Amino acid sequence: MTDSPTAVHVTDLEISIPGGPALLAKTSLTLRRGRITALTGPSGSGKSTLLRAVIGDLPDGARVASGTVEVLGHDVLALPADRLRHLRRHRVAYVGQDPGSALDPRMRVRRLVAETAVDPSPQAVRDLLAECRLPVGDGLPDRRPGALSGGQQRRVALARALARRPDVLLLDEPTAGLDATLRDEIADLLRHLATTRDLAIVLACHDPELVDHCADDVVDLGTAASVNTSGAAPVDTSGAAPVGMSEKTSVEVSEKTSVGRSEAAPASISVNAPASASPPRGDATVPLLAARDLAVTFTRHGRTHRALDEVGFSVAPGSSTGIVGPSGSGKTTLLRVLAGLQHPDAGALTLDGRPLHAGARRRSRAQQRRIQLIPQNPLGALNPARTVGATLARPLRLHRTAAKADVPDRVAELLDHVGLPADFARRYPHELSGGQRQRVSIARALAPGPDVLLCDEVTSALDPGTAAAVMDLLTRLRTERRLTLVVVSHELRLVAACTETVHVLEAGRVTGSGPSRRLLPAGTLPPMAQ
Amino acid sequence: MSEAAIEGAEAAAAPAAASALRRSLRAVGRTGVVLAKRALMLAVLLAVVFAAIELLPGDAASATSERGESAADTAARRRLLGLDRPVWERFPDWMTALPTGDLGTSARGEHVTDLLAAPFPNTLLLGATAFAVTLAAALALGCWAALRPGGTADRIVGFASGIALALPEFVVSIGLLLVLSLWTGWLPAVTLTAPDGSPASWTMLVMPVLALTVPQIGWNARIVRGALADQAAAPHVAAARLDGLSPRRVLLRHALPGAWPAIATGAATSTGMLLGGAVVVETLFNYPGLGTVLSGAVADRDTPVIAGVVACTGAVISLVLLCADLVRARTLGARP
Repeated sequence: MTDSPTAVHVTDLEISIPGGPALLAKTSLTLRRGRITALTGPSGSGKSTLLRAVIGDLPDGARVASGTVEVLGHDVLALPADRLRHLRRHRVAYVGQDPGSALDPRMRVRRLVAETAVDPSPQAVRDLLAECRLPVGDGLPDRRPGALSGGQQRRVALARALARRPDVLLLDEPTAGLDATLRDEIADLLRHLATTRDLAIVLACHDPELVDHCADDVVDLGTAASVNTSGAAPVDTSGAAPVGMSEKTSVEVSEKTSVGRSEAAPASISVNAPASASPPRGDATVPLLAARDLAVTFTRHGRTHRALDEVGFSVAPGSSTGIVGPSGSGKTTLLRVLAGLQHPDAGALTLDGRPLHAGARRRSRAQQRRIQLIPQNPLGALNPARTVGATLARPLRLHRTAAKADVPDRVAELLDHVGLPADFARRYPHELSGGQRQRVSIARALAPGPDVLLCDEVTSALDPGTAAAVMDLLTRLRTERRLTLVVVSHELRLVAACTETVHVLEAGRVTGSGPSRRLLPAGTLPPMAQ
Repeated sequence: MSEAAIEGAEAAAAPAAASALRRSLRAVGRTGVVLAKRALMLAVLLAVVFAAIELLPGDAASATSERGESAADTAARRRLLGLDRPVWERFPDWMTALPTGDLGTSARGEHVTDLLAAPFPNTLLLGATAFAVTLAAALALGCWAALRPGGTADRIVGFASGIALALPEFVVSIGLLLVLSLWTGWLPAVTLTAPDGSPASWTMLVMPVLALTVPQIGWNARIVRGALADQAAAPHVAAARLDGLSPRRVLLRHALPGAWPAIATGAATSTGMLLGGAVVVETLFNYPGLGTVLSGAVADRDTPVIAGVVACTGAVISLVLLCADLVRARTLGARP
């Protein structure tokens, strides 16, 4: 263990915004070649900040308060720009949390991978894509990132990172949004790469199973930070600071409140619309939301890809339904059709037994209000130019669910419901961590008081504690307000725990549906194991 | 090779050919609709021109009257030119003749088509050269500034383009005349024309082109710089930087493609300003183009000539705007 050479050495690194919150409490980290190190810790504990610091990139306005970062013998924080660029280009590769927006939307997959490749020949690119478990046979190398599923984008980003044959690989949430089978394959791939290429890999990760599966060393920033800062002055997290990626203390506090609240008497708070605005409840035999024979095809340059093929779907009022399936099987497309964002080529939708228009714009305001989508990528779905408060106030005003004077109170209430402090209303999306953004995204969906909540991988960016708190929140709201949930997730345990019915999608077709307990036995085995 | 095999191949090819035909027919139909819309826009523009000239005091008969001409003669000529009829009768007459290439007759009795035959290509040459120079210089300056945001080049380009943008063409023209012609004597102050009516040599184009482009370069360089700054903040551009790609590659391959729609729209709006500026510049340099014809025609209240000039320039501007829309659609369409 100690004989393998050190690739990265981080010593007592502390990053903070002058006069503001600490982004990373004093941390030390050593990466060795041929070993995989996992960074764990609650969202907002500085995992991403630490990874970015290793490639010499600090958040806007942030300063290194103390410590050094040495990568392959270079002090990256003091390296001249051109040598730092050379290091990033050839020796250290970083894959961010949100590869969907980090891949150039106008470049095709094969060019994206060839651009950084040591060997940009088409065959080498295809081999690399295949190595990253991407299907190269069906024209994927000729598609652009927008035509890939979330999981495929993540693997393309990984392939792009590996193409330069780096010595150090930094991955931020490499398996978020991937199903268990793929996650294990990626874990095996990383294991294999670490051994054969003598690569030092570090991954920031919420997923304990991935950590168990492939990590040699685990660094817990939550505990490491508290141990390391025990002697130092406590970090000021007053929340009044204008800029900050996250605030560890406040997150922990808010988590406690949200957990406490889920145990407390429920009737005290109501996030939903006034009772008068609640819809007529049909009897249980009429499905609240139903779809018949949905078909969606995407055509690019004469090639047709069937994303959905004669899919039928229905949910009863107050029920909770899961949708599972491998990456690229059409789960997100189905949710987008239900939300009215994707026009199906065939099929019909009903809400309360009455026909529902396929396009969201043609739906009535009440229908729009009743169906809300929480999208997969919270950074892409939040307007970067609006504060969290403005983002949450908009649906309140649009659907007239709150009087103008009450809007700030309702915003604070919504933030409180998703476990964020009220002063987050003044922040912008880029000042939040991935987990916090997801909470804001959920709060926005809750704002108009929906009846059906379509959740697309809402917990993939969250650590297990936060994910459990968010799912508790959704489950509680469901019982309180007879909210109907449709949950798309790769985390089968989570789907099994919070849904009664589950549909299995494979290559755009429903290949199975039934009670969650039967289809997802104990939530351990994937139903679509190959 | 049996016949059956050939038939089989034909049968397989038939539906593919049919769908290709249907696709191309649909594309032709879409193009037709787009072009029809632009033509309608042009017709509305020409109606506005007719109405505007009607509102000017005086008419072509009085504006072009000889000295000592009697009121009766003027009235006779007015009847001859058809100016005694109301504008809503003259406009449809002129419009219906337009598709046949007949632009009507000027107040001095010449065919407008002949009147514009020589100046229009000259103005097109001037405008196209100015447009190309503008685009190239604006792209170069904008990219140069964007390579080092906040650096010396960025500040110089920002400052200089602001000043250039604020300069009217005639100020630039006079400055150029002073420096390049009166003081140094490098270039002739007025345009000399060859027997066929075109400028005698390419040196005649230098000053008019410069006078037209300086303000437009200022305007477009700012647009390029701004569009690149927006793109630089996009996550995929930030990611490309963190991948250690060279600044030039990040700029040209990752930021610039996304900036094309804004740049194309900015450049297309420049066409209108270039052609409008040509009126001033051509008059100043005595360049034999549409601008000279137009300024004379406005003084004469010569509606068919003015409408003919507007029809030509309007068609050019619509075409360039259409190209900009196509660039935009192509760039945005590449997203999914």
